[in-house]
Amino acid sequence: CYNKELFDSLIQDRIDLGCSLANHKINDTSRALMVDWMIQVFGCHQLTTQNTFFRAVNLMDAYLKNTEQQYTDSDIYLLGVTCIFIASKIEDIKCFDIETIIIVLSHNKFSAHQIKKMEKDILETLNYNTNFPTLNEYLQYLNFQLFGQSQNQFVQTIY
Amino acid sequence: MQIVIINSNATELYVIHKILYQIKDIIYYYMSASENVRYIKIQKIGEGAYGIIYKAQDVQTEEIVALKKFKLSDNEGVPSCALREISILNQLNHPNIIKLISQIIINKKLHLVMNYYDMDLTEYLKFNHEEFHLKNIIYKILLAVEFIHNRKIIHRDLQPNNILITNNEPVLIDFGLSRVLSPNMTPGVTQLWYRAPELLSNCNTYDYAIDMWSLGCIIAEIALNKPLFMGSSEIHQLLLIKNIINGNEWFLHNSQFAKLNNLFIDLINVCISLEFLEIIIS
Repeated sequence: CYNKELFDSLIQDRIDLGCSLANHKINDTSRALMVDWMIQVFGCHQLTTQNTFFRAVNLMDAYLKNTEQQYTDSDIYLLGVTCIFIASKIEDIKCFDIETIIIVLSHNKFSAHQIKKMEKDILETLNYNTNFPTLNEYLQYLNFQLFGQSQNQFVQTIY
Repeated sequence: MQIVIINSNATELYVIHKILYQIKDIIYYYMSASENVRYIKIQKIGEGAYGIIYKAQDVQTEEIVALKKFKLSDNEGVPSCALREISILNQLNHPNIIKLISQIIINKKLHLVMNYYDMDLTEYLKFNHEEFHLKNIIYKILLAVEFIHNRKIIHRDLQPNNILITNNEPVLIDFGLSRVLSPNMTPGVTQLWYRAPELLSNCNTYDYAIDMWSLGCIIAEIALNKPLFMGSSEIHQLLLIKNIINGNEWFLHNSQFAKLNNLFIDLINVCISLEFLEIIIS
């Protein structure tokens, strides 16, 4: 149900995430490594859903696109950890608490204060608009439109 | 001093490391505390599990606003319910849904600034029984709920206390429990009287239907002027539901509904759908 309206809202709330690294001194490879590491983290953690990962990556891109500060390769670790923290709060039933974030994910490299400061920074830069549709939601919509409504049984099994 | 540290084992070093970071945090905390005096708190209106609501006055514009203060914002950064509420309210722009004016931080605690209305639906029903206004209110609530469902958002806390009335128009508030639809969610939401049977049976793959159940209960309450199911525990609530709703034409045998219009009963019957209930009983 609500398919047409959902599509309208997906189009309306879309935000542009392209060229997010343009203003920063961050390599493409280090961002790719970060995303790879996030996949590992969410793979190990049982309680998360798919959407948490997509949300974390998109939050990172959106912040890098909108911020005025310039970041280098060394900052991306803190940024990624904080994005996981925020995304997990939004999407999961049982989110990562700050202890696991500090000890397990960042190996005591950052203090709680640093993470909270970064979190505040991210949220204020994005003006608390953290609920934008992620890539996963577009994919799910497309998937449903292509395969979900078909009468053919084989096509339905793909869905 | 150096020799001591080398001799001590790794766990002790780790403890020292952790304490040092905690001290650093405390020092930062007191250094960055600042006063913000744009809003003056007048009185406390309500208190929930997640925070306290104050009536307050804006110093600059002398407008009366409602301040919602979140507890627990110290240990875990920004609390997750606050994050969800702010991001969802920012996304919604509808005349029957409350508007978020701004969010500010006073004394390291996050506060939401919203419009202030002084009457909720329970109070309104005590004094007003005009059919025209009640119909209008039901219609507007339905529109608002449709609007949020279109955006894949479930409210999860619909009850008469969360519907405010101003000039005979309803305003939906309290999105602290609401979230975007996902395959796995917590079953312990909504106030007990308005909780859907799938939630009562601890199911965690529910969808928009739980909001429709609460809406059905609210509409019945508007019509009957008292809550439809008043259970004292989860089992009692399920029993009450089972006793009142038996079969598809339950309302015909129920004397409570005798005076109501047929279309009206149809609306309630659609909202309080029996599909899930039959699964539970069988």
